[in-house]
Amino acid sequence: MCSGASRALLWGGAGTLPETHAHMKPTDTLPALVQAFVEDGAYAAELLTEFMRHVATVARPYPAAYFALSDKSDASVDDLGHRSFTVCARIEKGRFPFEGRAPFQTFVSESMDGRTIRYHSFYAKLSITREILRDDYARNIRRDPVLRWRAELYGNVGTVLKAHCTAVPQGRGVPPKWALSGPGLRVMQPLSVMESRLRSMDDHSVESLVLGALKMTGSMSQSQLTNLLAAVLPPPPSEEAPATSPNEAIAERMDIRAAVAQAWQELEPLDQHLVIALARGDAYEDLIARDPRLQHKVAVSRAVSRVGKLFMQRVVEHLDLPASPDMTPRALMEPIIGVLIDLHPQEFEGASS
Amino acid sequence: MSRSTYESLFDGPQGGDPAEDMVRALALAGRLRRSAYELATDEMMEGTWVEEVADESEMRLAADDRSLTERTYAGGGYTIVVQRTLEGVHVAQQLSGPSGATLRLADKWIPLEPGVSVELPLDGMPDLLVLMDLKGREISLR
Repeated sequence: MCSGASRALLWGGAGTLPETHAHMKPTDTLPALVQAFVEDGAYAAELLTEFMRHVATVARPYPAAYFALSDKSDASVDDLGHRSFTVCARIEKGRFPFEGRAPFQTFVSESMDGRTIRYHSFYAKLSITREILRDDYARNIRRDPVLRWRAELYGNVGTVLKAHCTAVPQGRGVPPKWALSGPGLRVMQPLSVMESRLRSMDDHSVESLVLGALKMTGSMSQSQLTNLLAAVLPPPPSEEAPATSPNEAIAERMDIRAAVAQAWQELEPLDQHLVIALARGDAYEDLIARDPRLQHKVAVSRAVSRVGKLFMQRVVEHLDLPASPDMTPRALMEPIIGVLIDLHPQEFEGASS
Repeated sequence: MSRSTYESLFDGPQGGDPAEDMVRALALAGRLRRSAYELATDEMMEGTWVEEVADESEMRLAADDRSLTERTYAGGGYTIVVQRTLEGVHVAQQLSGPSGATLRLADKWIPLEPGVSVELPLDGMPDLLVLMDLKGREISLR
């Protein structure tokens, strides 16, 4: 027994309406394809083809850094299309408009039309496809030395903005812009002038450059300031990002996953709260909101000591790796955080995957 | 004060106590993850790589209680309501204004009669309708 959507598609094939509506113009078939897929598991190939077409369009302007392993090719765009389809079909999303449902299920339940389905799946700024691109980009940022430098710069710019500037809201979902606190008229300068004036400054600390830039304009977003400072500051020495990081392989090893799981179980709740806050990169206010006992300096110091010793004993000693300049504590912690997020997604909610 | 103790962890390994350096490395890796994610999210929400910006006013959202299957156009003393049927057909009806008007949709002319429904060759709700009255004047209805 197939649903109405499947019957409609069966009468004329995808793209054609049933005979009773033959006098009308062909309508958008996407809603019927999604409905047939959700209700009968039918027309998966047709729906996937439709997905691949739109994903290829969305992906066109993105640079390689947004694709798996920083490689933009036919294969990686196809891979993006498949992953986008899989998320829509199977992954429950918490945010609006999905609210705990898989996107395809939402499209059917809310009787969304084709344009709305395409909007949420591909073309919105916050679409399923663009979320996957964003996540791949965030992962590549951590692997590529130049991109990592930009992310660290972005974090440092944010620290200066929060300490010295005022956020200017830009509307729902759009990151705020930042302006200097206090009154005063400022003459807005073209970006090229700002760049050259910042270059000529004696003090090239992030704080001086950010405040100097904002004196020459009305307001800027954190990422715009990051781009500006990245153009002014000398870039890091370029080195090629490894195709696959040895750390990623570590995160996949069963013995390592078991060791991380064991270490986590042995931590006291207070220690776990510290690890969660650190892995999420939380500010101090978030830490003490999570566990007020961590307001006390002694509590933090003891938790640091316990966590450090336990991870040394259970995980690092378990690695049994030859000494290598790549195997710094920092390089090892990246896959360990990955394992913790995999094993305890709810506790680490908010930490990027 | 535990703030300085906590925040100093993000300065990275100091080459002292290896156990504490592990925690410092954890803090640094966590902060980098956050910065990378926030940078990527900011660029996404700023639409850095968005070529086509969809008109959100025409998007149908789950919590949106506006009718997307009906829209009323008015101008020059005329009022026309356009409804989209379940089958996806657009149907217009003149609610007010003198008789004898004609709708112009691209190269198609559709005569209107007050109170009578007529089918329109439309794919979606247009932003405006163009109508010719009996005197041949062109009137835009929004």
